[in-house]
Amino acid sequence: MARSDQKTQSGWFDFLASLKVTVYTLILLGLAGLAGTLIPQKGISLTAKNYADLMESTFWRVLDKLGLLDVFHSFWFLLLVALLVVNLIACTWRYVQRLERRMKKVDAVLDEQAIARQTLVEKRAIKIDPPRAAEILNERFTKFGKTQRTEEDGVVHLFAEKQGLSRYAVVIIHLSILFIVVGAMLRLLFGLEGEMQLPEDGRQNLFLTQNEEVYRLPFEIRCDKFELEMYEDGRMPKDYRSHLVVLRDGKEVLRKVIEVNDPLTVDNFRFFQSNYGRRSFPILRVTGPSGEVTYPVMFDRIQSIPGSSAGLRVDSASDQGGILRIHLKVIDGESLYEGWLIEKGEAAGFGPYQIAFTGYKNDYFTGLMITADPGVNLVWFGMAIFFFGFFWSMFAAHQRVWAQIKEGEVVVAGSARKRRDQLAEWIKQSMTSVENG
Amino acid sequence: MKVFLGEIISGVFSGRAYPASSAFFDLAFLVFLLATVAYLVYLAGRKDLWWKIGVGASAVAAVLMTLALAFRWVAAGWDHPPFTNLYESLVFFAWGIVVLYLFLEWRYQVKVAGAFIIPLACITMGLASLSPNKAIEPLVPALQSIWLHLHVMVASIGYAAFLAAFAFAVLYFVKDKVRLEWFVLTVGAFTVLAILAATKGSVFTLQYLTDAFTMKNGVWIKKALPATAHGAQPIIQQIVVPGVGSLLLLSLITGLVAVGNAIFNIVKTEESLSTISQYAVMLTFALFTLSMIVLLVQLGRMPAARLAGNPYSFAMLVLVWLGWLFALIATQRYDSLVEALPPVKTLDRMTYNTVMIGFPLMTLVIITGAIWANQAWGRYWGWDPKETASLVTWLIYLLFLHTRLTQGWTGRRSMIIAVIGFASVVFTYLGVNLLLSGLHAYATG
Repeated sequence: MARSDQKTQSGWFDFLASLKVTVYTLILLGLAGLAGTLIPQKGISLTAKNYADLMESTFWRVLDKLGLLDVFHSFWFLLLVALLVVNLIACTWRYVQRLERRMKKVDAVLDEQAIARQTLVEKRAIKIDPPRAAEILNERFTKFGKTQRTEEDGVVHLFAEKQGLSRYAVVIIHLSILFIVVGAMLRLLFGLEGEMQLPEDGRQNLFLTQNEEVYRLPFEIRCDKFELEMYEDGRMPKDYRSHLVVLRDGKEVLRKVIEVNDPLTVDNFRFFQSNYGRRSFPILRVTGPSGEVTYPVMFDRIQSIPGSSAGLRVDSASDQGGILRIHLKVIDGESLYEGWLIEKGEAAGFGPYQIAFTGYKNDYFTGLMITADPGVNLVWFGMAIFFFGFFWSMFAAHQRVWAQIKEGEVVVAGSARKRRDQLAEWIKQSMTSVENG
Repeated sequence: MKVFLGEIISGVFSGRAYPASSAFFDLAFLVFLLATVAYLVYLAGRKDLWWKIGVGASAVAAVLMTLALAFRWVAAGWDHPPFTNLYESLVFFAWGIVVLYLFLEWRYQVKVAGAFIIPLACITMGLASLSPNKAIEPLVPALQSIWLHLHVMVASIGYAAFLAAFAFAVLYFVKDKVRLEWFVLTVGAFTVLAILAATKGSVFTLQYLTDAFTMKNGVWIKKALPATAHGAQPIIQQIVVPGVGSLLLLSLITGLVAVGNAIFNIVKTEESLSTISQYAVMLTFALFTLSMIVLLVQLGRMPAARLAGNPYSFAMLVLVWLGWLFALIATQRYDSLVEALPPVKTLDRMTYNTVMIGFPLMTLVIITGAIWANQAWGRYWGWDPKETASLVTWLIYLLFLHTRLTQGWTGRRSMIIAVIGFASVVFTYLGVNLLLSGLHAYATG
C-alpha cells in the first residue's frame, strides 16, 4: 500500500493510516470482545447483587478497576474504537487522494516500456493494414468501455477503461462503518431505555430509565386493553397484545395495538411489548385543577397525575380487620404531600388535589419497554450502504486496456486487479479478430 | 437395524408429516455415513469409483435432508420454518455444508476436499440426532419473526462456508508440506481437551480408577438455581459409563507419546517422522477406535446415559477420532495425499472464495440479528455474549480480507487466520450457547 512516489504526508499521518494500526486495533478489539464474552459483564451477565459479592475479593476489584467487568463501556475500549475510526478516516483519506490523482492523470498513451510492464501483454505481427487493424480494435475497445484514440508519429494508441468508479466502493464501505459508529455513539450519549407497566385503563407519562431516573414523556400513554393468547397446552404464551392510545393534552392523537416484534413509535420514542403479569391495582379518583380522572395505578411505582406535572406513588398498603388502607405520596414540584386513604372512604386533600381510593382490581398489566435512540437510523443506513459497497466492489472489476497499432505489429495490454483471466481471454480474442481481419 | 429400517419405511409411507420428516432424516444420516466411508476410502486409495459414490451419496443425502426439512415445516402446520431450535439449526447447518460442498465440487472439482468436509457434515448430523430436544415446539412471541428465520438460515449457510474455508486451509497446510509433526501436535492437544471435557477430568485425577466416562446433561436452568459469578449454574447429572475411561486413558498415553516425539522432531529438526511416532499414531488410532466402539456399545445398553449424554462432548470425541484417522492416513500415505491435492494456489484461492461467500452472509447474520433484536427488545445491540462472539468472528474474517486485499497476504499467514476464524465460528455457534448464558440460551434446545 505504501507507495513512496508522492510522499506529502507527515510520518504521523502515515502511521495512523497504516495497515499495521488497523491490524493491531482489530486484534485488540477481538481480544476485548473475547474478554467481554468470557468475563461476566455488569448489566448483562452480572447482577448488581453478584457484583457487590464479587467486590469482596481483591482479584475481582482489580478486574473492575481495569474495566474488565464492563468492557464495552470502559475508557480503553472507547479509545480503541476511536483509534479504529481515526485509522479508517486516515486510510480512506489517503486512498481517495491517490484515487483522484490517478483519475486526473490517465495514461491513455503508453510508451513501449510502459506497455510491456502491464500484467497482461500480447504482441503479434499483422499482415493487414494498420488503419484496418485500428478500426477493428477500436470497435472492440468501444464495447469494452470509454475509449480514447490518439495518433502519434504514425502509431495509433487506444485506451479503454471500465468500472473505474467502482474504486469508490471501498470508500463507501469505510464510510458505512463510520455511520454505524456515529449512530452507536449517539445512542450511548443521548439514548434512553426504560420500562413502564400499565394495567388496563392505566395512564402514565412517567417511566423509570435504566439508570433509575424518572423520565417524563411529552405525551401520555393509556392502555385500553390487554389480550393474552396461550398455546393449547396452556403453558406457553402464543401472543400478547396491548391496545395503546397516545394522548396529548388529554386528547387522543394516536392508537395502535402493539405486540412482540411490532412496536409503537411516537416522536423519538418506541414502545415495545416486553412482558406481562398479574397484580392488584388500587383505583384512584383524582380531582385537580384540570378536572377529574379515575384510573388504576401500579403499586410502588411513580405514577403521573393526568393533566398535571405532579406525580404520585402508592408506597405501602395495610389490611386491618378487613379495612384496606393505602399510603400515598404526591410530589408536586418541590412540595411533598402524604397520607393514608381508606378503601371507598372520603377523598383527602394532597395539595391542590383531592384523591379518593375507590377500590381495587386484580388484573393483568402490560409491561412496556421504552427506548429512544437518535442514532438508530444512521446505523441502519450504515448497514445498508455497507452491503451496497460490498457488492459493488465484489461484482464490479476495474479494468484497463491499451493497444498500439503500427506497421506490421499490434500490441494489446491490460491491467486488472480482479478477473484477470477474463481480461486475458478478452485480449486473446482481440488478437484473433485482428489476425482474421 | 431391521427395526430401524422398518421405522423408516413406515415413516415414509405413514402419510403424516412428522414421522415422514424423521424417517427422511434417518435415511439421510445413513446415506451420509455411506458418503463419509466412501470419501475416506477414496482418500486412502484414490480410486475414482469411491469418489463418485461419495458425491452421489452426498447428493442423495442433500435431497433427503431437503425433504426432511420440508416435511418438518409441514408438520409445524406451516406456522414457522424449521429454523428455530438448536436441533433444527444443526440439521440446516449440515444441509448448508452439503449443498455448498456439492456446489464447490461442481464448480471447482477439488475431489479430496470432500474427505474432510463430508465427515464434518456427518458429525453435525450426528450431533443433531443426539440433540435432547427434537420436538417441534410452539414459538414464544419473541421468536415469531421473519428476521429470526432469515437470521438462522443465513447463519447456517455462512457457517458452512467458513467450515469449507477451514477445510481448504488445512489442506493447504498439507499441500504446502507443513511438517506432519504440527498436525500430530494439534490433534494431540485437541485430544487432551476433548477427553478432559468428556470425562470432566476424572480420567486425569484417576477418580473412578480411570474407568470413568462421565456424561452430563447440558441443560441450563436459568435463574432456578442460586446465581453465581458466572450466571446460573447448570444442573449436572453425572453417569459413569464403565470400560471407556481406561481405554481413553491408554489412547491418551500413546497419543502423548506421538506428540512428545513430534516435539522432539521439531526441536531437533529431524527430517521425517520416526518409526516410534508412526507406531504411536497407529496405536492411538486403534485404541481410540476401540474406546469409541465400547462407548457406543455401552450407550446402547444404558438408555439413561444416552439421555443424559452431552452430544457436544461426544461430537468432540468423534472429531478427535477423525483427527487421528487423518494423522494415520497422513503418516502412512503422505506422498500420495500430497499428490492428490490440487496446487497450493488453488487451495489458497478456494479458501478465499469460500470466505468471500461466508463473509457477506456473516454480515447479514449480524444485521438480521440486529433488526430482530431491535424489534423484540428495543435495541439493536446489547453486547450479549453471542452478539459479541459473532462480532469477534466477523472481525477475524475482516482481518483475513484486509490483509489479503491490501497487503497481498496469501499462503500460510492467510490460512492461519482462516483456521482461527473457524475456531471462533465454533465458539460462536456452539460454545456460547453451551458455556455461557444469555439471550440465545433458548437455542440450547
